[in-house]
Amino acid sequence: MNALVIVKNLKKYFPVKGGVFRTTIGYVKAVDGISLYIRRGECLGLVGESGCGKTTFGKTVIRLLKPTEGSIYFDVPPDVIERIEELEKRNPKDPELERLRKEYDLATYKGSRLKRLRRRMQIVYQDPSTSLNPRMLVKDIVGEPLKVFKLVDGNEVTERVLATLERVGLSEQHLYRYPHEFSGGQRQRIAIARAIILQPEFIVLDEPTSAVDVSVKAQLLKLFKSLQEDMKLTYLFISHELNIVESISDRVGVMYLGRLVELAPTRTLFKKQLHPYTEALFSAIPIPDPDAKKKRILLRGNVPSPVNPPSGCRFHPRCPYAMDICREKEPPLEEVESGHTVACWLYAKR
Amino acid sequence: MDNILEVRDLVVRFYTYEGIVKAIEGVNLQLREGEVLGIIGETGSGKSVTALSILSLVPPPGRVEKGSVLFRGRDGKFIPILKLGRKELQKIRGREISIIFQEPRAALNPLYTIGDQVGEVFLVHRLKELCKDVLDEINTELEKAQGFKAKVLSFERSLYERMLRNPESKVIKLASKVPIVRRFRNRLKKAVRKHVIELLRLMEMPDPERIVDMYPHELSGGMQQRVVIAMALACNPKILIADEPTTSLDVTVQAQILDLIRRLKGKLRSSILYITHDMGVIAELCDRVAVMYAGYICEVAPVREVFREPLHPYTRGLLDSIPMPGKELKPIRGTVPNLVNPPSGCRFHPRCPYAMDICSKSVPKLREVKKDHLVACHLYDKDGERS
Repeated sequence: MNALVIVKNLKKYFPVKGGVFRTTIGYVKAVDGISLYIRRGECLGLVGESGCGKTTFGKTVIRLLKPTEGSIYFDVPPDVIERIEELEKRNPKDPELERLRKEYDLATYKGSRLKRLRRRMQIVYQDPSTSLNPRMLVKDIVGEPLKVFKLVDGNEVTERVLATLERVGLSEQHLYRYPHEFSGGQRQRIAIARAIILQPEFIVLDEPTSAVDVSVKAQLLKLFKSLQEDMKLTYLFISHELNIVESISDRVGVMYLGRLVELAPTRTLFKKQLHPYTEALFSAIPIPDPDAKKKRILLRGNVPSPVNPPSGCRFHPRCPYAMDICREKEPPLEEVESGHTVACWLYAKR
Repeated sequence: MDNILEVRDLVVRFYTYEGIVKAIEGVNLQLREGEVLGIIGETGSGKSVTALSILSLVPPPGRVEKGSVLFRGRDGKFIPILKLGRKELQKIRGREISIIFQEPRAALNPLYTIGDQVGEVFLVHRLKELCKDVLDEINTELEKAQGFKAKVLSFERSLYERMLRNPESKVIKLASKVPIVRRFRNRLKKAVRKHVIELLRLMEMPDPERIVDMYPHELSGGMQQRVVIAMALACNPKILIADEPTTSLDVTVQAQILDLIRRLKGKLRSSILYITHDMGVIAELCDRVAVMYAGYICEVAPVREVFREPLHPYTRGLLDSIPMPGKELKPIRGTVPNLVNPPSGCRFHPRCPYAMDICSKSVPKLREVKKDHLVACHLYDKDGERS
């Protein structure tokens, strides 16, 4: 296994302030203990409803947010990972472990080390009309990363910008324009150009197609695929549109209320969902075929608040198969079939 | 099946600083009784503007330049909606034709409780029925009452009788303001509340007695949309226009709302005009589909035919742009045109893979190619009919 990104027990809590002295009265547990890995060159899809923490997870992985707990390893040699795992099992307070953590764990990075890392991981946001500065020309927006990292000389910047713009399907005439002069799809292309100009290895795509029209969506998907092939990119593709995730991802993870409930290769997952939540989520998607007959599982109620998540399995109040154990103990994420992991007591070995 | 609504040659333009936006150019549409007609199109194709014109709600700087919207009223006569005055429109909006907007948060007033907002529909459109109910209640109480209580009751009765005769009576308005006297309205409020709770229960909301006293921000997006649907259906309208009601909701909530609309359709026997950009929703809910592109309707057909044998190149392109396993993704090239300076002739021709010379010169007419299947494309012109 050649993993580019390894995330271990990642947690991100946001404090809720209240009362007269604005003291912390609770935490929004946006991401609550997620462990996964992303292989080099693959596209990992991440799906879930709004508020389940998928965007927070994406931002924390590339350290735009500081995790509350957990570790992130980016491009760490496998023998080092093995050593860390071994030490963790033996003695969590070993001085060697602490040294290795400081050296390799992104969660501990600060300042210039973090900045150097930013060159290698980028993000494309959901809404290009808010992620592009309206007062900057396209050439400055796309060229800014080059200036920040002082990679090329001043006059070469425009050349590089132009080459990148052409790669995403824009041309020279677009260089001296402002973002508002473009359509949604074109703006998203500008945001993509900005993300790839430093030739990163890892890109987080945070719902990049949800703000554009159907026909533009398909164009962008094709662009993502060809970029991935040409530049050997690794993607974390966050979305709530299952059919889009299906067409681009190699593996798909499903999140519910800050937890990963199921993770499997795309084909396997779309053929057979194990977790009751995944099953309900997949059955809710309208199929563009009037003759398709299918059983629809309607979930009761709403997603509970992440400030006070339900005890045990977080899905149990809405789950049609809830048992006694679901209310009491949180199910572990276990591999049921090869590559197919699920966190549900229905499948767990007790 | 008879048509309940006809849109004829509708032309809507927006007069902006950048120029005249030709949002709708000659749209013809028929909604039949009891059917669900879907309108699908991309952003800026004019689907929402069509919906707004049906209720004569086009906001300035927009103007309906030409065309008519005919609604068949309860007596079977067609009413030209665009020619009506404000008061007459008021009688149709919300009572005969009602609309659900995309964003429930924007459709609800944050300062009023759910009960007040849904109740307003009853007070505006069904006041007379409410008055009758209240009068019945007073009469039964009067039979048992004696002395001072009887006097109060008969005073209340006189007020409600007056309200029944003339809802805008000055006496009622005054009485509603005077302290102590205005308590007579409590009976009306109670009656409204009862109706609202019933309606919320019909929308399958949990615990409607508690929800009537809540404010919109206390509800989730799906619940808010249910409230908006409740308001729209309060008067059993003949036509329900749904303008992307599930776009801002999550898929699992969308499934709940679609399921609700489907079941209500059976119960209320309204016709529904459903606007969306999601082909999946169209396939699940609609009987017929109209495909819009850049202000024109390019294809109208029963839902099965649209998915099995789409005729217009744009419809085909839309279907090919949906990612499906085992199918190659074929996006439509180019982007939606700017409607200030739309392409000449067929507005789709710059993006169309089958474009011919004639396409850039003349606008294709919407004509019936097969039974019940209309398409506006020069590919299906019969020879000799080319102009």
